[in-house]
Amino acid sequence: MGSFITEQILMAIGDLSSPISGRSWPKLSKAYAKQKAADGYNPVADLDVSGQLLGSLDYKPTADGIEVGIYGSAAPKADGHNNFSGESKIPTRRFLPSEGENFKQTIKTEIEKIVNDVVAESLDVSRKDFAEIETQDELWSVLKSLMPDFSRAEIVDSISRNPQLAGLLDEFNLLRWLRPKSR
Amino acid sequence: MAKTKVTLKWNGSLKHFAEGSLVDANTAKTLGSTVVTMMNEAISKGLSPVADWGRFAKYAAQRNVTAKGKAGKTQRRKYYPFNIKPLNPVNLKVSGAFLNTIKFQRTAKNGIEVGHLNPDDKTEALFEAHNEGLNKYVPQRKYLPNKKGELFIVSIMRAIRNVYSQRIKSIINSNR
Repeated sequence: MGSFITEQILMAIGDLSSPISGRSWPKLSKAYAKQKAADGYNPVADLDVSGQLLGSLDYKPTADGIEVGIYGSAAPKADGHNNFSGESKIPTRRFLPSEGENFKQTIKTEIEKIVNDVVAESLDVSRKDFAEIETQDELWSVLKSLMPDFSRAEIVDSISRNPQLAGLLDEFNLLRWLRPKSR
Repeated sequence: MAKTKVTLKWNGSLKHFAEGSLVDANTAKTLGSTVVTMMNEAISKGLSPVADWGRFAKYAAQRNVTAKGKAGKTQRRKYYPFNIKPLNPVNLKVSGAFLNTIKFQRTAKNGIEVGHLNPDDKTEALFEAHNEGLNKYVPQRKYLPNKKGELFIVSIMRAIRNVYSQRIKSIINSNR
């Protein structure tokens, strides 16, 4: 998940937009853009001159998840753009969510899928869980007991993204019963 | 010679369900165009599409040549088109001809191949320099995971997984 989030932040920054709001950032001032171009750099707000800031974007596992941020000597530069301190004098170009903020919907949705996929991959399932199933209702009863916090759609999603789980259901020809019942 | 293309296929068996038809023509097209588009998107931003490679190594300092008599003033070397090629992002692109040779095709075995499918000599030389690091004047900037154990970045792997997922769900919801 940490790799996914850092990649998405870098991609959004490359698009000159915030990975939080999804909106484009304030452009560079004409004077600074001219200076950047004269120095041989891309005269746009890509937060990239020396490469130190973006090269320091990283993640660490924590007790209840992960922490993504700019570590080391580039941290003050990160605050210059994100302005968590409230003291930055340059236009805010936020690429890390502050407290109460979240990433834009596309990133958020994929993070939720990653979490669900990790849950599905950690299930202790084997052939015997599915070998005796003879009806669609029995199948759903087993699946709901394995993934009690998932909706039916999330269960189908997780199975469709998991080759091992899909293969296990397919061995007993059970994938066809993931189709919603005809009314 | 190093492989200039990689094969992607569903990592499992679906004998009852869709064997032989999981990666149909439409799915192959979606999968291939998704991967190629995302590779180009990452490269254009100076980010390697290969897991654990991070951002591409910067252009060498000699790209900035001090003009005669003016200490500290920088000037691009003459063979880089001025005002077309800034120092960043490092995007492996001058005319775009090289990156345009990254393509995909469907394989017979329920998958696709992505990469330089039939590279000419010039493309091969650039591939060996950038991807393989075989040119001592050019830092290695890997963009194709062609060695055993190498993968695309997570964003691309997730996109691949989502394409397969959509296909499986469409088969589930069909009248098969």
